[in-house]
Amino acid sequence: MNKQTMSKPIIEIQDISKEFGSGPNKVEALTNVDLKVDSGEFISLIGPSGCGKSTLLRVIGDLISPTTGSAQVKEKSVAQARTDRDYGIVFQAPVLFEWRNVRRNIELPLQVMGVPKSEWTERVDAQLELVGLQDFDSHYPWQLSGGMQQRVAIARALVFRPSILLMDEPFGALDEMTREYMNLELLNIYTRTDVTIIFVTHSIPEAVFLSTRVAVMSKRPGTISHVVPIELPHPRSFDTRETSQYFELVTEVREALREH
Amino acid sequence: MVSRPAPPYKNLLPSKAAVSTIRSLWIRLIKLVKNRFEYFLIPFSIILFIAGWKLIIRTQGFPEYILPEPEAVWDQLVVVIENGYIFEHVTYTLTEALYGFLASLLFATSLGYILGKSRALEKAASPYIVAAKSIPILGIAPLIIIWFGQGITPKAIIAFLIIFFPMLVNTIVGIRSVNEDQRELMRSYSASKWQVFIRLELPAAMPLLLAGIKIGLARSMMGAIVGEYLGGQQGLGFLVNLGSGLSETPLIFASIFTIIIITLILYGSAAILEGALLKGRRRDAV
Ligand SMILES: Nc1ncnc2c1ncn2[C@@H]1O[C@H](COP(=O)(O)OP(=O)(O)OP(=O)(O)O)[C@@H](O)[C@H]1O
Ligand SMILES: [Mg+2]
Repeated sequence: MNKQTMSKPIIEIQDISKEFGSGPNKVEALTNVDLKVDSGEFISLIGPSGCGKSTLLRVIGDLISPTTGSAQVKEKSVAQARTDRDYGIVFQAPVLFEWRNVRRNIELPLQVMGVPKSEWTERVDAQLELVGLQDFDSHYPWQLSGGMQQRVAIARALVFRPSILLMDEPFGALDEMTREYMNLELLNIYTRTDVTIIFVTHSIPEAVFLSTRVAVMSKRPGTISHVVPIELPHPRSFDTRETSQYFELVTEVREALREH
Repeated sequence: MVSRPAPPYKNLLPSKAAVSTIRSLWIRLIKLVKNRFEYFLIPFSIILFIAGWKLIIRTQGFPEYILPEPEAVWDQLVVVIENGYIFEHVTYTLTEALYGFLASLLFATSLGYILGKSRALEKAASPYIVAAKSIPILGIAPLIIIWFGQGITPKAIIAFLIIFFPMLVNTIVGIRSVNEDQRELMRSYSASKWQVFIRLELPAAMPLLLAGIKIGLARSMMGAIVGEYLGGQQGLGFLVNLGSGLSETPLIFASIFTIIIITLILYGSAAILEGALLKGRRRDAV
């Protein structure tokens, strides 16, 4: 089952470039990046370390502004989209508040966004269960392993039901089993809701398994060099990973990556 | 069914429940002594201190106007406590110290917040701060007495000046310690300035703010006493001064011990506040 897509793209990035610093320290992180994402898509960004994946995600999330080019979300500026709280962001590091326990960390966006207090417990409980941390709600971040901290960060991004999820290697710190389980859970959330996801990963199999399209990025210049559509049918399961179509797509992405 | 009468001695024996509570209390007491061993050393160290004190007097044969016997100091303390004399002076010194502390809390933290947020402003202000910091407080304390008279105000000002800079620096460093990623997270929620302050900056800076408050409270006592020493007719510093004028060493010692106890109480309450506000945080991060 493919999700219904709107005619107008939800994210529209045109000719973005981003430079950091100046003079001899100048780094061109992104050059001529174009990307259109339809509502309800699941786009993976894959590419070598330092090619600008995190930077691109931060431009879309309006955490930094591009040097040139335009980025629009839902036909408005990214700044407006941020003000409208369209984004849930999972950073590459967990970025938890060390003075709050797990529950209170997940409550943070609800508190900031003024969600009625009566809804907090139920919503947080649902997320805790999703990421498998029901028994750790009163633990503090320093009492958790790196992977558990990252799962808290995922729960915190999902709890306010954003329409766009920007995820920067969210499962990088997880063991293989938990990772596969989280992949399925993410797909589950994705098919149940009409969320649009931009997902940075270093794992080709993961990108193919999850996405509707995989955007392959190259280094110097940091840009999107290939876009591989993934036409694996939904819903996907462990069996999907056994099909020949899946293997062909993994090979296709691998070759696109190798071209540099 | 006929209920059997209870044996007459039943009430004399402790019930099973009572035995087990007593046993568990006893186990807890032993655990407490084991875990909090350092606290049980305190009375021991006090006894050792007094014994050493007496030993010095015995072996060196100091007269009372050089070093009084511990008993003389104790008697003096009992006298000033019984006639309420000491409480007047304690209240006076505490009032000065707390005024100085509160003023510093207000000004040092708000200025520290502004300077912590803006590197440009901090650069502009830093020559003045360094210059002001290098003024010896003891040197200008007499001036402050001359300008503001003999009352509470000049001593509160001296206390304020002594603790202002440590509290200012702690606030600046505390605000700077806010992690940039955490700011970005709040930005992604489109949080207001007030929300960033109350949910992120304040709690992140809290450990350093509280460290500043702890030092500030203890040192504000010192500032007030220095001021009293230089002029005025009341307060613990004045009592020390009076004692030395009269060569009444027991009075000097009694005043000093009172100062130590009050300072410890202030420091201890700040530490308790700290423990409560930093609950759950990693110990070594505090
Ligand atoms: N704030 C910054 N200041 C200066 N340079 C930066 C900054 N952020 C990123 N860069 C540079 O931009 C380039 C792209 O960085 P980015 O973090 O986007 O890479 P990435 O693709 O996410 O890498 P990784 O897979 O290792 O996370 C790098 O060369 C990096 O040094
Ligand atoms: Mg990155």
